Amino acid sequence: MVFSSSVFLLFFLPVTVAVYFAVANRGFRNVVLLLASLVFYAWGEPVYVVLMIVSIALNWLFAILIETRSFKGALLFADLAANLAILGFFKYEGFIAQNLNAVLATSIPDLDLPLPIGISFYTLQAVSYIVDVYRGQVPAQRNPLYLGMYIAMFPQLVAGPIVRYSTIRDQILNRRENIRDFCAGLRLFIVGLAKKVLLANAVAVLAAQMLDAGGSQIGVIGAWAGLLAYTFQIYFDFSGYSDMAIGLGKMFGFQYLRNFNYPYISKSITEFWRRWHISLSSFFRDYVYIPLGGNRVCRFRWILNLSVVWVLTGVWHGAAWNYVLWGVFYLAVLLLEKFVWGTALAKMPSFVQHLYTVLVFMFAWLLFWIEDMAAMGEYLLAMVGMFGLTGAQTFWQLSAWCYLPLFCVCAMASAPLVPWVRFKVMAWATGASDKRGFMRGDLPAVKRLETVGLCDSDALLEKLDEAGAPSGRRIVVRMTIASIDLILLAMLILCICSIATGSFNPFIYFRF
Amino acid sequence: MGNRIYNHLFILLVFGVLCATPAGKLLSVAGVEFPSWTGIGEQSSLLEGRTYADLPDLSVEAVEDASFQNGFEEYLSDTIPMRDEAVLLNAAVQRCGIAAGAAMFGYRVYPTFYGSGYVYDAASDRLWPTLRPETQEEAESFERSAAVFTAFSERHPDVRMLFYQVDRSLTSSLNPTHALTASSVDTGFLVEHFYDRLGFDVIDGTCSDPTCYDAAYFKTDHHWTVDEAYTCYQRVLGWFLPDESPVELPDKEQWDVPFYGAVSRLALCMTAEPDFIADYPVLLDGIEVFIDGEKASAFALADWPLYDSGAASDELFANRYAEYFHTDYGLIELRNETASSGTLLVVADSYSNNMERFFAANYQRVYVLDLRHAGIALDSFMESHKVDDLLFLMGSTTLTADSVLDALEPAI
Repeated sequence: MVFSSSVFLLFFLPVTVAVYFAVANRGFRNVVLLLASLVFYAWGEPVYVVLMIVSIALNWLFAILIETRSFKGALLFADLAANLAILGFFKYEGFIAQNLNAVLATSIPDLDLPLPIGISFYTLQAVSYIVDVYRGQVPAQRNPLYLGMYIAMFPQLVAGPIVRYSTIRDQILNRRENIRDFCAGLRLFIVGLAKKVLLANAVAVLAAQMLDAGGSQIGVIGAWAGLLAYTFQIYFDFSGYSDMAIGLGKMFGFQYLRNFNYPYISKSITEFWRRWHISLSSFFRDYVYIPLGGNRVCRFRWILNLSVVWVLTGVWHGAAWNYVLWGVFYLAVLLLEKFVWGTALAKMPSFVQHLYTVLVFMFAWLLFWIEDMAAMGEYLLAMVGMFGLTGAQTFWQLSAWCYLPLFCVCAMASAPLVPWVRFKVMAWATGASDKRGFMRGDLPAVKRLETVGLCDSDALLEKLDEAGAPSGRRIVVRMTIASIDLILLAMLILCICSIATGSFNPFIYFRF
Repeated sequence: MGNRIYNHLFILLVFGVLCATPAGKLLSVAGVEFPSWTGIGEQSSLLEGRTYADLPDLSVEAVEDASFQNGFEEYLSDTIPMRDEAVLLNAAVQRCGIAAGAAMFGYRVYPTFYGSGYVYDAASDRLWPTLRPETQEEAESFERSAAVFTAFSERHPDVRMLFYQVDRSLTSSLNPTHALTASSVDTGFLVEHFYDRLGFDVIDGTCSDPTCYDAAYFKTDHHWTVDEAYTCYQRVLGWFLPDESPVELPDKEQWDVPFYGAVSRLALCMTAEPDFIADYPVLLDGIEVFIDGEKASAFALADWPLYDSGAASDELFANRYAEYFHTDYGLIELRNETASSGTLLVVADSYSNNMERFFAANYQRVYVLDLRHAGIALDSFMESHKVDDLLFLMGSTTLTADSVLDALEPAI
C-alpha cells in the first residue's frame, strides 16, 4: 500500500483515524497504530509481514538482554549480524552471487528474491534502536507492542524518514494529540501528496520516455530534459513521501524531524548532504562514521572513514554497481570540496555556487538513475551532443517542451518560496523589521530540523497576538490562511482525480 | 475558540472529501438513490468504455497472490463519485500546462495530457492521434499483410476485387503531427509497404486538403461522416458498375444530439464543439436485412426513427456511430430482388457501417463480412456464396490484424 493510492486515502486512513481517536486509552491507541501498521505492511507483503514481526521480536529480545546481561558486546554483535544478514540476504544475495560467479567462476545460485518493502528502512531503525540501547542512550523498551509500533509505524515504514527511537521514546506514552497538530499534520500530508502525485508523477512520464528511447533517439535536448525531469521526480517523490510521513505522524501526536530541507538551493555538495535525506546521512554519521573515529584521526584514516560511509550509502540504495559508483562519486566530490576547491567555491558569486551544485547533483542522479552501464554511456554521449540536438526525433516529438511550464513550477516548489512569503507576511503583519533576514534566521537554515510549528496556522495567529498586530492585518493573515487551506483542499481533490485516472504512479524509493 | 471551530471545519472538509467515496458506496448499497450526475451507484463508464470492477472475493489465496488487494484498489478507484469528470479534470489540468508550453514555442498542436498518444489541434478544434514512428517491424508487417491479400486474390481470379484506401486519422498525411514528426507511418508509408504491393486495384480515398478532411471525418471520432461514405460508394460503384447510377439521396438530416467520439474518450479531451450525427435517411423499399443469420429491420442499419423520436441517449460519450448506424457484426446480408446486378461482398471493419445500404440499390445481394467477428475463413465463404465483386474496405489498423489475416489464409 502506498500513501498515494485509493485504498490508503479513501479507506485505510479514514478508518485508522476513526478507530484511533475512538479509543481513549493511550496503550490501546498504540496497539491500534501497531495493528494498523501491520495491516498496512501486510497489504503489500502478505508473506513478508512475518519477517518484519520476526525482526521486531528479535530486536525486542536482544535489547532487553543487552541491557540486563554482562556480555553486551557479543549480544550487540549477534543482533546486528542478524539484522544485517536478513537485509543482506534479501537485498544483496543476487548481486553478490552474480559478482562472485563472474570473478571467481563459482556457481552460486541467484535466488532472485523479491525485496520485502521497506526492509532497508526498518532494518536501519532497528539497528539505531539496538545501538542506542547498547550505548545506554535509551532504555530498552519492555513492551514488545510499543517497540513493534515504533519499528512498524506505517507513516515511516516504507520510505522513511529513519526515525531514531530516542526522538519518539517519550512520545510513545506521553504524546498529546490535539486538533492543532492534527490540522498541521493534515496540511503537511496534503502538501506531500501533491508533490508526489501532481509533480513527481507528471515529470516521471518524461523521464521514463527519454530513458526508454535511449540516448541516440533523443539527442542533447532530450537527454538533459529527461535528466532534469528525473531530478525533479526523485526529489518530489521522496520529499513528498517524507512530508506525508511527518504529517501523518503529527496527526497521531508524533513529532518527527525534518528529512529534506530544500536541498536544491544548496551552494555546495557538502551543504546538499545536510539538506537531502537528513535521517539517512545522520544515521551513517552517528552509527558508522563516528564509531570509526570520524575526523578525529589522521588524514588517511579520515578519508578511509568517509569512503566506508559513502560506499555503504551507495550500497544501501541498491544492489547494483551504479549505486556504488554514485556513492563513490559523492565521496570524490566531497573530498575535493574539502581539500581542493571548497574555499574558492565559497568566495564565488552565489549563482555560480548554485550552478556548480546543481550540475554535480544532476550528474550524480544520472549515475543513480540508470543501472545498465551501456545505457548510461549512451545517455552520457547524448548529453554531450554525440547524437545531435534531438537525436532521431524532432524537437516536437521529444515533447520535452510540454513540460517547460511544469519545470518552472517544480523549480519554484524546490525553493523555500512558501516559507519566504510566510516570513514576509508575518513581518508585515507584526510590524517587525526584517533585520535578521529570511535566509539568516529562518527555515532553510541547515540546522533547523524540528517540525514543530510546520504548517501550524495557530502558531502564526499566536505570533500576531503576541505582537499586538492591528486587527486589519490579522484579518489579512486569517484570510490568507483560509485561502491557502482552500488551495490545499483543491490540491487534494486534484490528487484524487489523478489517482482515479490510474495514471503513471511509480514510486522510486518503494524498492528500498 | 474561533481557531478551534476553523480547525474542526478544515478537518471536516478534508475528511469529507476522503470519505465521500466509501460513504457514497455504502449508502448506495443501502438503497439510497443519488442523482445521476454524482456517478454514485453507476455500474459502467461510457468514457472508459467498460464496466466497473466488482468487489473482489476475499480468500487466503487471493491475499497471498495480491489479487484481492489489486482488485480492491481497482474497485475503490471505480467507486469514486463523478469519476469520469475526475479523470477529465485531471487531463484538463495537465493540458493547461501543456498548452502553455505549446504557446511558448508557437505550436498549435499539443498532447492532450502528459504521455498522451493524442493531440489537440487548437486551430481546427480537432483531435488527432500522434503518428507512429516508422520502424522496420512495422514495414515488414504491412508487407506480409499485402502478400496475404494478394495470395487470396490469386486464388479467386474470377472475382473482381478492389481495395478502398481509407484516410484514417492515425495514418493520414493531413494529420498535423505529420509535419512535426520524423519518419512516421503515414499515407506514403502505407502506399509503399502495402497498397503498391497488392495484386489488384486500389482506389485512393485520401483527402486532398484539410478542408476536405474536416467534412469527411468526425473531429472526435476516427470514423468518416456519411458524406465521405457516400463518396466512397460512388467511387466503388463507378469502378465495379460504371453504367449504374448511384442511389439518389434525400435531404441530409442532422440531429441535435451532440457526442464526443472514441478519439475524444481516448484523448480525455472534449473539443470546444462536439460532433453530431448526420445522415441521408435512405431506406430502400423491399430490401431484406439479415444480421448474423437472423432477420432484422432495415432500421437496424440506420436508426433514424430513434433519433427522430428524441429517444437517443443524452450521454455525451455515447457511441453514436454504433447507436445510430450499427455496431460491428460478423455478417450482414442485404437482399434486393429489384436491383439489377449480382452479388457484392464487402469485407470491412466499422467503416462500412454507415454505407452498405447504399450498395443494396445496385446489387441483388450485398454481404458485409467483418473478419474480426465472423469466425469464418474467407475462402470458405466464397465457396458457399456466389460472389461477383469483392470490396475490401478497412482502416489501417485492421490491415494487419491477426484475425483478419488468419481468415484470409487458405481454408484447410
